[in-house]
Amino acid sequence: MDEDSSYVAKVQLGNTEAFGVLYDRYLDKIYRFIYYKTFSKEVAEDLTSDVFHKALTKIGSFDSEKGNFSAWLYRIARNSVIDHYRTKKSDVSLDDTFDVGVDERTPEALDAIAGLGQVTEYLQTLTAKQREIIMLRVWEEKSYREIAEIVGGTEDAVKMTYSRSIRDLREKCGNVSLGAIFLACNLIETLRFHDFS
Amino acid sequence: MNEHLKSILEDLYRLDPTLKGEEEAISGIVTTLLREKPEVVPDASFVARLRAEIVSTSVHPTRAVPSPWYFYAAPAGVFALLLLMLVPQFVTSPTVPAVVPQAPDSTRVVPESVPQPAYMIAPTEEEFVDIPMNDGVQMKSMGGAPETSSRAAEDLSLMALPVGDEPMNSVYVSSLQPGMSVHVEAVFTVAPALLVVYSGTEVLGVSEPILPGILTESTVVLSRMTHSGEELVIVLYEDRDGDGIFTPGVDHMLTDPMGNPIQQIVVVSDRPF
Repeated sequence: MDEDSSYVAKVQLGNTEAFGVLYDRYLDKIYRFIYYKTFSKEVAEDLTSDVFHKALTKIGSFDSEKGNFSAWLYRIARNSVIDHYRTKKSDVSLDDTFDVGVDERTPEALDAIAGLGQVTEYLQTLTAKQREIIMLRVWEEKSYREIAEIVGGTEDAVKMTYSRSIRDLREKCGNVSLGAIFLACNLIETLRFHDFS
Repeated sequence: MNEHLKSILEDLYRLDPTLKGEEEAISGIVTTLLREKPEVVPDASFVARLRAEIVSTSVHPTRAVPSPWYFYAAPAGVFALLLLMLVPQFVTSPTVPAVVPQAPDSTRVVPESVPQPAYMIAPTEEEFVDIPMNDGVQMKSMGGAPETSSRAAEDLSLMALPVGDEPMNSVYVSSLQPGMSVHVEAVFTVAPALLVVYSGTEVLGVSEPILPGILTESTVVLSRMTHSGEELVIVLYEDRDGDGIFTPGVDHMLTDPMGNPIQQIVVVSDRPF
């Protein structure tokens, strides 16, 4: 039984302080994961809050022997982002996708807004799933097994998608800012709910 | 070259040795990815506020916790049974009122298989069907009553989840032809719910309220005609406010014990079956 499992067991017996330990362990990661998909601090805060409330509500249904708590939590986060995009209106303006003031916009966000037109041609290069796998592997350093649990599919499929995605980036994107590509793709999804496979 | 970059590259070359032939370019790509990782830190006051909120939420124990009163009631129940056996005149004599001592509730026979709430049931490894993921096809999940999950396992568009002693939230649509409605052949929910049919982000239709606890079917009338090749997503939402009307943001997607939304994706097809 890993460390998370022992705390999960305590929470399942009614000990919410134990959930506080899990919260401390995963808050930053879940927040970042959601931020990478939305590039909005306000949305990331709202959805992060949703994720932990849902996790606490549903923790009784989690079986440590059948799955990994971290992957379970990431899946809740992933589904929360999907739910968020589903309920978001499709005619939102580009500026409205950033619920933060200009001063809070990251350099990546500003670059992406300015260069959105330039990277449009690269949008077909990466699917949402490819970007997600790259982010989880390279930015979050997740194992292939855990990525497979989060996004669905087999470990082998994740490995194949990951290596192919890097090859696609090499062949098609050249020197274009990858951060801009990722952000542009996320913006397009916010506007059109383009691809969430 | 830093160790982290090195380990990512070695890992990539193990997966696809042909990438080694383009080492410089691949190294450039990965270096750029690492460099462009957004450094984002959640606001400290948000973190503290949410933590206080979470930790102050009460959680009811979901694991079996022995109740002390069993230890007192059980012996009393055993004594009552012995009394029945050893003092037969209380039961059979016509001169004595046929008063049968009522055994306390604790002596009632507990069924061998105690139904568990649906949310407690976790999938077993052998029952978990791993569906290969294709681009453009969203992950689906379904918990089903026994009669629907066996059919669902044969359908490659569904991920069949195990069925415990009780049916779980589930949606099943076997096929769909172009038209102005979607017929859901089986739906089960443990809470008042609504079926919402999406095409992309467009809500095409919402069902009549689905009553909990009954395996039923439902026809969702759509706002427009669907066409062959169109992908529809049928999602089960909990009608949180109980008004029978789909309210985004208030009514939430129902999920299975693993946190997956209860939904089904179907591609409209005009091919005859």
